[in-house]
Amino acid sequence: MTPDNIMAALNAPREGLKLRVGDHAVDFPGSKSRARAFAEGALKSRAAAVLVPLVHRDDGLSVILTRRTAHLKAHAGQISFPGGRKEDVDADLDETALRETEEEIGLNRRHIRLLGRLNDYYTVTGFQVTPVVGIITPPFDIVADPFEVDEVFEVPLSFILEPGNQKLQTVDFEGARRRYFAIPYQHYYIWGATAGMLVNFSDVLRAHQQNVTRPTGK
Amino acid sequence: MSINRDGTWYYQGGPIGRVELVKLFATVLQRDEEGGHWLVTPAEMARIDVEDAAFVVVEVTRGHDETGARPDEEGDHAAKTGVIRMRTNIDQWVELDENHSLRVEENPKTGEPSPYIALDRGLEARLNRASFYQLVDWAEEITAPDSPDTVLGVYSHGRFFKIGTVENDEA
Repeated sequence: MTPDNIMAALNAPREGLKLRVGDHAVDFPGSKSRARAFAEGALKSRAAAVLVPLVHRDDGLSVILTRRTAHLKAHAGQISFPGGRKEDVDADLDETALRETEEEIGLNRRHIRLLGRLNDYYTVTGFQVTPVVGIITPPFDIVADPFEVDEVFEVPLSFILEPGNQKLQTVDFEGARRRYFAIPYQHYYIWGATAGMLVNFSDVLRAHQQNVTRPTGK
Repeated sequence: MSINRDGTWYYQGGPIGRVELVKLFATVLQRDEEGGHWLVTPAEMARIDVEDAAFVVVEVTRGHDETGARPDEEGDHAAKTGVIRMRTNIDQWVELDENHSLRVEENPKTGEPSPYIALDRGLEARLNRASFYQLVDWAEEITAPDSPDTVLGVYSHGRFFKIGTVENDEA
């Protein structure tokens, strides 16, 4: 998979794809996930953006992820993309993703070429997240912000795209059964919104590949 | 993990050669309402990429059910007490009946039919060419009262399963 393939996939129409609109979409039917209320507008969500940072490594593409520090208010200790809430100074959501990436992991935007966007994703915490996909060509420096980021690491894209690594898991949380996507990688546990967005990404890429290899479809 | 169009299971790029292993995985395979395939264990569900149907029917046979036709019976009644059984590539047997019905999709461009039988847990098996030709060979034609077309299909467990439509153009 090349950056050009990915760009083409991100720009292809997505009508036939059943992409997940938020954390509630993979939860059990009838769940009282707050993500549904945000997605349907019953609760007011906050605009946010993340960068899906793809790195061009010799042995293929990989995805940069961060582990957030344990003391943060939202998503403490979780694995996530660099990103955050849209600020008034941001001209658009691309700008939000790039600015947050600079702030959180010290990666300068001159290393990043944006390829396109994935569908917005609503989190239980009330963010309407726009994932912006960018390709990064080494060499580059990472300087993590110690307040927000514990660790910056990379996962091979091929690992994420492998269907068997994309798991639906169930947990009993505050008296209710909840279900969410998880992509466990080594000792990193990628789950929830980050996993959901990666699964959407995977579906967009797969659909494009199938259309390219079998143009008549079925 | 993935299953390609001919029913071969792949893991990390290579085919899984051991049939026993495939049979084991097949016992935890299911399909959701949206058509996605999953391997389901008590702890979690893992996605599996299925190119077409998860299984392929490689053999069809025809017999009679317990209430079947007496040997001296011929024709209509005999047809309607027949049972069509199908064997998949991993040796599951399924009978064509109310809960395991036939679905024939036609490629809009080429008109080529793709026949599927419904299995349990939302799964399907696609009939290979030889199996489909066998069904067509057994097929009977009926004419629907409200249509000029003739419908082609087979009987199993007393039900009629449509295979296709023959258009009767009145020139």
